[in-house]
Amino acid sequence: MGGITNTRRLALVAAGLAAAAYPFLTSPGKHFYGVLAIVYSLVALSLVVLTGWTGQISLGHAAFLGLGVYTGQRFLAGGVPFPLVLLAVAAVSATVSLVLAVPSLRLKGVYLAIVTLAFGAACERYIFTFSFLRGDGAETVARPSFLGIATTSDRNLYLVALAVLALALVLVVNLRRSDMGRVLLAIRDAEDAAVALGVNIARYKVAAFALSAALAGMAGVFYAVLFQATPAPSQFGVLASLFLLALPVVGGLGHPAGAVVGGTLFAFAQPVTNAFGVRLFLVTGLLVMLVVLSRSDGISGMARRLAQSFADAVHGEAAARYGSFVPDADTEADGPSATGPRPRVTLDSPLPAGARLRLRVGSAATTGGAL
Amino acid sequence: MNQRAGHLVANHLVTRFAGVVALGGVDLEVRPGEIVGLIGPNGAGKTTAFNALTGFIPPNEGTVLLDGEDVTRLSPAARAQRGMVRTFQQVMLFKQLSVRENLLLGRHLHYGANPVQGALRTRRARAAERAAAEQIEGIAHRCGIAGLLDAPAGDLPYGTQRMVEVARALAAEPSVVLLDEPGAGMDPAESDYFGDLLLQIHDGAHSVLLIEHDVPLVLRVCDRIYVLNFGRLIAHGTPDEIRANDAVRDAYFGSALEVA
Repeated sequence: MGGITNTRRLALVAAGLAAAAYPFLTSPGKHFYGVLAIVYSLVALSLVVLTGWTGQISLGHAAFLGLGVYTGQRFLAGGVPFPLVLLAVAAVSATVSLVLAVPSLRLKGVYLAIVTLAFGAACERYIFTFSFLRGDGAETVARPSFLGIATTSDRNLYLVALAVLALALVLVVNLRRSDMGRVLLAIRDAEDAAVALGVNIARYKVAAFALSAALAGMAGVFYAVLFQATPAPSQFGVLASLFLLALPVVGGLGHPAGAVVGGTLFAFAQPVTNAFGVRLFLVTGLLVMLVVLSRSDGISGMARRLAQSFADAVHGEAAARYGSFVPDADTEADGPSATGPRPRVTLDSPLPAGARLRLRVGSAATTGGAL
Repeated sequence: MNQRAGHLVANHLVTRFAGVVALGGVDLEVRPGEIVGLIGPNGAGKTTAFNALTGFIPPNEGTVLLDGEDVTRLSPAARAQRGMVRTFQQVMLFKQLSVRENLLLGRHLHYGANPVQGALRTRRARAAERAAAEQIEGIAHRCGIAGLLDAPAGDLPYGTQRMVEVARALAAEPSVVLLDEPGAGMDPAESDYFGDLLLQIHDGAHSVLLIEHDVPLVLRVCDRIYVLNFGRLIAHGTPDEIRANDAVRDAYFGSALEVA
């Protein structure tokens, strides 16, 4: 186990250094995609919490991104400081999510998917056209300084966004290592068992959705600031939501690292697909299919599996994974010979206490016997 | 730590499914510190009784009293908060989590920090995490799964998964624990060992209601046994009385009793 932990720590430090060094090693034209990667990573992270952990699907997450874009623009135009805008937008998104979640998450199953689908469509066609939200068309978005750091260059905006993403990652990873993180995964794996242990399911589902909405909304603020304009509502429709859902699926839904992998991959895939004259949607679809067929938890899941196989090969496989709770003397843990010869039982002999009869249909034991 | 006695009383439980009477007025009682068995043929209504007692499928009629409090209309989670914890007929582990995390979830109701403190990893959150980890180490030791804490729960052999589920329920420090066929899927050696563990772990600390098809196990560990058939109690008594009961023999055991 120690080997894996060290490898993981090393990978984490390397990724952090690479991310921080990125705008200093690339031309300014590339910094735009760096910020886009962070926006995507934040949205993907929000879906890791909601879908990867809690097992609830949102088909309207682009609407929360859009909500962040439009309300963020309003707050910024009103002269609210950048950091406070992030917090305010997070609060607005979380509040909107409560309206959707409180009725639908009290129920089991796909109700949240249906409600968010409707919410996404309503936002695209109706809510985002309100002038108090959207303004009079494509509004320009200013680039205010963030705690004294000017964000007029894409490089500085990237560094600010990276710091926010890093903070979000730390909080989410901490949450995962606490009771709430375990509870969310428990809800996904076996809801009834969680209930039996006294978990108030509805409350946790609602909280997970609110956290998810807040993260997606904050991503929207950076999206607006990056483009320096508010895109049309059609940018935040249902198709966009499906695209956003593909980010963590391809990157790895079960782990925050998967959000960063997926977000980064798709941000940088855009110019690549453009160069080859292919639509990004087509590539996305293909990647999702490949990931589903691979039966891994996305790209980060494949990496973890590889690392685990490597560690097993080097240190030997952990016997614990297949162990029994009965002390060794009583089990077959040391191979079948450890139990000694099995008692011979014929069909006429009485069953020993506690014994169970096992019939193997089609084997020599049944076809060749008196049966 | 748990001040509750664990006295569970069910009065005249009736559960109907679309006109089919699954429970036809069942009375039973688990007194503090007892291990009580609930046995009967397949379809007798044992799991339905569990669902009625724990609130997963509330009964159509009748009342459930836990330590004198009427909990009939409370949610399953609210009953768990009052000390009633159950396991399931089909193993319900959090399969993608480690055994350690499964047991830690058993500590959910006793966890000493809220989610915000958890996300910020405050001193309080770290203390809560440490305390929970220590608690489950002890339980894991007593249940023989201390060496398996890092294993993914879904990878374990079925019998061991059963044991993990029991350990997880015990981690919640229940006053009454309802075990639905914990021995199903265990091999004879495991089942035998499980019986010893059950007596050892139990030690009068909480009450147990046990559904089990492994008759020798039930006769060995239970103080009293209820026998259910077609949704009604057909017998009730000590293991010796049940063993001698003709009605029980006819309805259920066949010759199984002779080998016990």
